[in-house]
Amino acid sequence: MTAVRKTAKAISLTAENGIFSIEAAVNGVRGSWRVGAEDTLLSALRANGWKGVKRGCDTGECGSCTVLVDGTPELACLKLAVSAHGREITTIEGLGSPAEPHPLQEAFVEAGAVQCGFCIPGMILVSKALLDKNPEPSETQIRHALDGNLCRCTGYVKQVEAVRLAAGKIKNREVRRAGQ
Amino acid sequence: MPDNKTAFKVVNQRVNKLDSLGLACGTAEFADDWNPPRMLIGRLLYSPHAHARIKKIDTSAAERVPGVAAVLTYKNTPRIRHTTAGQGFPEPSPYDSLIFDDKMRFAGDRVAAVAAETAEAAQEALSKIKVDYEVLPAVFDILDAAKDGAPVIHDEDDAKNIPDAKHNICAAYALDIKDHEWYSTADAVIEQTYKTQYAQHCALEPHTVIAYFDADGRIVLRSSTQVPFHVRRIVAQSLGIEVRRIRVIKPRIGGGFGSKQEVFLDQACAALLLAAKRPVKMELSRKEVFVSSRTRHPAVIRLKTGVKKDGKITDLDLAITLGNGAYGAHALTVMMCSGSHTMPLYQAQNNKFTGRTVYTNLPVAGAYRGYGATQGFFALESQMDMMAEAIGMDPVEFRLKNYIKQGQGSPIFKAMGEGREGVEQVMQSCGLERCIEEGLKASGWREKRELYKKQAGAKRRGIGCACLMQGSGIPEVDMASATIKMNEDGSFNLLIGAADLGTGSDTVLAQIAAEVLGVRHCDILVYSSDTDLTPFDVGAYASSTTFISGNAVRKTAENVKTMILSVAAKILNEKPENLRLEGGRVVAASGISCPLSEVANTSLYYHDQHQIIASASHTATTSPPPFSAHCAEVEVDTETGAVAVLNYVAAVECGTAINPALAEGQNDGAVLNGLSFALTEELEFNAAGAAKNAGFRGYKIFGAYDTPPIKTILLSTYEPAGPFGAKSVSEIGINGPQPALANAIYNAVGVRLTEPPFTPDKVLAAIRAKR
Amino acid sequence: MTKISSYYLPATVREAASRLSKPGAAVIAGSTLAARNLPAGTMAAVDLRSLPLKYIKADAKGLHLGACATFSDILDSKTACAWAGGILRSAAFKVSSQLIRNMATVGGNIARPMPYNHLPPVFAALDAKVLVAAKGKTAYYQFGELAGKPLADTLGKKALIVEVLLPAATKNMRGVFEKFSKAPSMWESYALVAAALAFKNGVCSGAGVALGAAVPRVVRLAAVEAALIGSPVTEKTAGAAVSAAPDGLELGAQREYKRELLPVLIRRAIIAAAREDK
Repeated sequence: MTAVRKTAKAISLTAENGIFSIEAAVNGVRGSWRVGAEDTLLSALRANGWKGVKRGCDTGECGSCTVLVDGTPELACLKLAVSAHGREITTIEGLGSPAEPHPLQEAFVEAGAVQCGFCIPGMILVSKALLDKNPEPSETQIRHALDGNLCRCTGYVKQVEAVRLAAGKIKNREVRRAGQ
Repeated sequence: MPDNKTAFKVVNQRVNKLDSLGLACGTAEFADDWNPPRMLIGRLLYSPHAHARIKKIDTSAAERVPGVAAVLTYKNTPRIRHTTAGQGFPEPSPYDSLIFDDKMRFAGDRVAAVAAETAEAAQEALSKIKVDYEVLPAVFDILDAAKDGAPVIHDEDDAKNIPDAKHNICAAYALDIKDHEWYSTADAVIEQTYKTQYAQHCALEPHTVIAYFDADGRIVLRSSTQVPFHVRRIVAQSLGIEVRRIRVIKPRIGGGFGSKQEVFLDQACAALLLAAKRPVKMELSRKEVFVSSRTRHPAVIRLKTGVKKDGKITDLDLAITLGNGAYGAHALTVMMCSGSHTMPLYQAQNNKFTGRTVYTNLPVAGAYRGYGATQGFFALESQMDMMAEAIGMDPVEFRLKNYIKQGQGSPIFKAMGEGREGVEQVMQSCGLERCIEEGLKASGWREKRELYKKQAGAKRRGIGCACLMQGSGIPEVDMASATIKMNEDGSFNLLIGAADLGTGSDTVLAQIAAEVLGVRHCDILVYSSDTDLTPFDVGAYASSTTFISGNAVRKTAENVKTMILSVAAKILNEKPENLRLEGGRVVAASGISCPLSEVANTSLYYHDQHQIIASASHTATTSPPPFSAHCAEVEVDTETGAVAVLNYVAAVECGTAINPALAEGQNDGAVLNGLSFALTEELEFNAAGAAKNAGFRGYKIFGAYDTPPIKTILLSTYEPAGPFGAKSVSEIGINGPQPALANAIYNAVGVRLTEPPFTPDKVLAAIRAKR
Repeated sequence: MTKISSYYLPATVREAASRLSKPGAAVIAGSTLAARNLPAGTMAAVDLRSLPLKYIKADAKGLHLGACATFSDILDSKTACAWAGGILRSAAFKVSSQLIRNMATVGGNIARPMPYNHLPPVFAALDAKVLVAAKGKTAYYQFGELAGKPLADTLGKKALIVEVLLPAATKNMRGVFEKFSKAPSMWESYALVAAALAFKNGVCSGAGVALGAAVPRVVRLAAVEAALIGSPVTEKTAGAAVSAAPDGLELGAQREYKRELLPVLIRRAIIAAAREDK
């Protein structure tokens, strides 16, 4: 059955003194944002306090700036901040906190997959999108999904294990929920 | 005396790294994750020329750009020659650097700095700085650089400690331990030249420093550094101010691997702070990290060895020339480690080492994981296979006949340290034979060697090995200290100078403290790397933290334990010698006990009040090496030259692994770094000395999909000189892949590759040449 | 970076083309290249993401790939993955980063002749047609006519790619896409080879063999194709067909190596494409 596609409405945004006013949701909170015309999504997010989005190369080649845009992992350093208008952005902070971590965050900790941690927010967000789509990925599928997120510390060995561990945690949580 | 049969409670357990959760949730703060108010952006202007003098520099237009607060050049900064190498004082590297100089020595050398309100304003100001250069002839080849007539790169009269500036030699060392006439007893003599390439560390977080004044006008540097105390001292020295005026704080760091064992950005940032009188942040771009931070030393190694038919290595003569690039950071020490951390592995009778490090007009080399041993082992472990073949012996059997065993020493240890004479030492822990055994088993060595003897088709498989050692800190040089104080609830603050760069040293050191104090590792609150609040530590390098800082922590904890038992003795009415610490309590032999909180409250509030607190320091008199055996299995496509790694096993022993999960993780990462160093990484330059591939696109480091199966097997021995038997482990793994792959490729296609990276074009050319 | 003053998200192709026709306008599709490289003087960015161009559908004419479909969209489409023996799937799969696969679009991948892009060799080998809205009309152009130059140079700055059509005849061709590089996820490759073969009664009746990366602009290897047609494909016929392949090609850096490498890669791609049991 083909889904009914909504026809989008045309949108025009005009900058005043080099600043765009946009509407976007970040980590579930909808709001108005003022962003510079030249700002990337990466610099705008960090300027607004979302420090979990990291700048590793600023040219889209390392994956440290990965955020979810409407659930899809994308490189924040390659996108203009104004392009976030009408979108839902998720950063690592939106996934969970030390008080209430997401199963992926728990799994990365337990598997020993976090060394310096700089690549980890991007890795975890990409892993979330993977598990949302493919709850029981093979090792090849995991590696293929993570192929744009560079890490120099871990050799990726424990990170692949962490994704598998997280898949198991998420499955168990759902089994338990289903049983309730 | 505990030994390797003791069941540890916290040590040798796979406890979670203390900072992992914060990092996984994005709450842990790296340098740029906290900015002071009114912060300016600092940017650098670089020389386009590989070798040039500044005839004239005019910054007036730059200074007038709106938003610019300061512009610095050689004209308005102190002219105090220093080294940028983050090493103990007095540093064994030439004092050949200035914050800004009027001579440019590589394309990427620093001309000027600007601090401005925005990055755009800073960029505009940089573009408006007018520079008149006198372009000079340049030299890029490391062998040419030392020849008569080559351009002299350091012709200044105020540099210190350059052995032969006229020949661009920034370090030289020779060692000759002669037991018999050279090669007189050898049945086979092998001589081979090897060349290793320029590489960059590629830590994911670029170098970042934020400089600001505290309320009393002291300079605070929030720096992504491995060496906070060296930063403080070298910044003070290069600015001509007192150490007490500076505080260095290391937040979380996004990797370093040696590139942040260097003080080159901090003094420029501090200088901008002093000029602008407002906080300044300097964060290098990725391209700047590749070109203008630090790299691995490229090297040319000529190795000549003699061997007898029975397998004894009679003669070992290693001559190495390393390229330091434009400045001499780590020139002597990396060069010496290429011999001191490699030659003792095998008990050769004649030993000769001739090393020199040269200046070239190329990016500056510095500390990089492996630190000379990487280059040395590529040559040595390749040659081991060549020698074995020359006498018709199996390469593993050959290594087993020659390697240094428990109880043995080497004349090299005493003669060669790191920048100075070394210390005599005898192996108190050596598990290399078990590493070899486990490595061979896990890789299916014997079956595969047999299977691969007969192959047909375009794709050929092979399996090769390499054996390795490293060190654990620099004996009689590296020092670490710790302070532990006790809190009401039986928790402890552990203050350490040691720098956790993602290695997990905060956790490892907490585990050591917890083991002594009978608590859980999470009962230890770690605060590290703040020059005002934590006691001295040389910093994270030379694989020293677990071994040296760990012992300092253990000693400190023992002192705290003594104080606790003294208070508890009065509470429990027992003699201190009848008391032990266990499960967060003080327990008497009789069975009565009290919680640590009671001890704490008694000491803080009730009676004979005092703070239970202790500090201790440690230096080592030895540097016990970890040992490792690597096995690599490859498939070589003889029609395209492509080398696919099918399997890689690294068996490593580091004494007691304080945290096996962290030790494995270190080894996995080191091995993968070594693999892409062997197969794809190389910083390339054009004819004018400018880097051609200074970015992740052209300089390929492996991603998750490129990574072959890697298995780390952790074995344990017991090192009596280490805390709970531990040695260090973070460097050794990177040294294996280049030689192991070279040996595997030889096994597959009979071609000996001596110039990594082993890219398809080079492999194919070598295969064709052989035919 | 260029400071734009307007950001448009048009909902229809007509509106997008109209926006683009104003001076100082530039297109942003997947945002992997254009957004950080807007030409100097750009005043308005025209973001295509709201256009109804993310479709991937097959009909009697062939496989229609909307210009805003991404590599991930291709990988999610069963129809696209099955087309021409999986050549399109392979090209999408081998793009070197999940993030880029999520962002980069079909249109963006062919709008400028970047030698390392994956889709140009595939579209060249399959004789693809490109639907372009330009100069007031919307028409199909042969990919071969457009490849090698920026679309803006050929059809004007206001040209907008609407879709790429893979002809129906290519559906059951046996196709293979090979990427040879220092490491699988390295964007810069030594060579990209797209080979699509059609068979009738065991004999090769049609061939499209195209080369990218090793040469500055994607090129159809017409001589190789001609040599294959009319015979069954074997190691021998494939070897003979490719032997002259590097001749006349601008190989640039490492040309000696590429001269040896290319016949091997192309031969292997042809053999792999010809295998019945894929």
